[in-house]
Amino acid sequence: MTLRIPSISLCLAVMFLFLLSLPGIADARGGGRGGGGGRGGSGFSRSSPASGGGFSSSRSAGASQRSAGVSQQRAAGVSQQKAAQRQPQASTTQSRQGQRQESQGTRQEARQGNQDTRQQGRQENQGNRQDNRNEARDDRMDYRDDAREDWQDFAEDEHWDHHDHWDDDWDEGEAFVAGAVIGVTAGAIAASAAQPTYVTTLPCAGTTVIVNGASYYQCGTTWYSRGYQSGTVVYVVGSPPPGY
Amino acid sequence: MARDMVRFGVLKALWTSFSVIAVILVLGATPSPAADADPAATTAEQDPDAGAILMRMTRHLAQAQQLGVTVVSGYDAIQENGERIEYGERRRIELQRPDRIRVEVERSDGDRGSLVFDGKALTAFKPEDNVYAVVEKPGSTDAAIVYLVKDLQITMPLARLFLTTLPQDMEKQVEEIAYVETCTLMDVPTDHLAIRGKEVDLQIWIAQGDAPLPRRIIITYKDAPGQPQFRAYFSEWSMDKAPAADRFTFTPPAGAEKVPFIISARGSKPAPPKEGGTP
Repeated sequence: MTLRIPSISLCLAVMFLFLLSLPGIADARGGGRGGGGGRGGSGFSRSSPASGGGFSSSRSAGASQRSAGVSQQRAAGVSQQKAAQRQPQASTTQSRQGQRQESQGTRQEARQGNQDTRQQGRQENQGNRQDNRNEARDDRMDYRDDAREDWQDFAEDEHWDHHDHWDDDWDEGEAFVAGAVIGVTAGAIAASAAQPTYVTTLPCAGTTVIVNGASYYQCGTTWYSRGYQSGTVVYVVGSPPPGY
Repeated sequence: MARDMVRFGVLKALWTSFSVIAVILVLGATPSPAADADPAATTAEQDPDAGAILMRMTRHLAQAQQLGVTVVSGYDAIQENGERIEYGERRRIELQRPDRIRVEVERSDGDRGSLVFDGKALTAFKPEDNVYAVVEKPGSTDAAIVYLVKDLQITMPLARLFLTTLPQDMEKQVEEIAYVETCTLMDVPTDHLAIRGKEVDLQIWIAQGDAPLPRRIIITYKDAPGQPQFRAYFSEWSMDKAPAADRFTFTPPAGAEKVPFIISARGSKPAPPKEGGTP
């Protein structure tokens, strides 16, 4: 009984302090968001030299041995892959693919109408994905940074892991980046140069077309298809799909 | 009493001379109870086996025929304003030596992905986009991990823990090692080791007993701005049971699109010159 009163008052005091601190927390959050400026949903950057969990953080870059010699395998097996993808579109019941086809329909309708409608349809259908894309922009950079560090590390035997990533201009998500293709290629990319360029975020809310199971995205006169890069999906500049 | 008087006399002299140097000298001469404290009790002299514990762990991992582990990790992203934000991921890694790997990742923002290596080809899959990329790369788990990180530029935190060359790698890295304590906070007692390397400091908690596996790791990038850390907990270690064979084959889901691996040519760009002549 004697213990109870102090503990109750302690509880109240703690609750009171907590309540007092709440507005402060809310303020801090608001400030953080406001100041973000286009670096993903929260305004925070995921980029860090620590993100790769490497065992060293050498800053000596000097790894230029990578870009060459990556495209040997690319031409192989294109036709085989296309055959595998040549399923009728209608049978695709996966939610994402489905959505995309729907949005394609919407867009084709809208194409005859005005542009606003098309944009609208696009936004509705792809709003989610766009969000993800925007958010992922920084992350993609991170991935790239980390990965770069790691392979540099492997390239330099004295380092377990390499962490030199403070390359801020990489954070321009819509910049075109020169890349190289590894593995089997298909669709638009197959027809493109050995060093295709790609973007991590589509520069517009364009048209999506699915041909032979491969998705193509159009922005203006430029066509893109997808690629896998450092843990994320990127959009590679290529040729239009057959029939376009 | 006598000392007070001496001090008073000294202070008086100082007041008249205003000599800063004299202040320092006098303060230095004043007996300080802390100055004679003996720090010997906390030095690293009782930990001759820290290195042995570490190497035993590395050999245990390197020699395992199969292993499975869940790694929950976080790292500091130091923002431009200096604020420290943690991001993280959960990763399940399964390895069947000599040539099978499966990795499943979920990032703290929900982004998911997986990697499968069946001894012949590496497949990366993104379930949200329903796309996958395949590259033929016959070889060992070691070769695949190195290829993954070095050539495909795919992040695999703590990748070197999963190479058979881990003991040699670790030996090269360690400049100083010390035994901190026996940590009792996890489900098994662990040896807490502190390792200093050239560029990173490493703390590792290794389970005591017959299965010397890492349970926790903290890496501090002491040269990086803001000294960010990478922290990981290891759980659900399985070393005895081979994962089911179908864990190492990839079957594309319906409607999945096969896309190429793209690597960034920017990765070969040398680091930008530092401003202001900082080394």
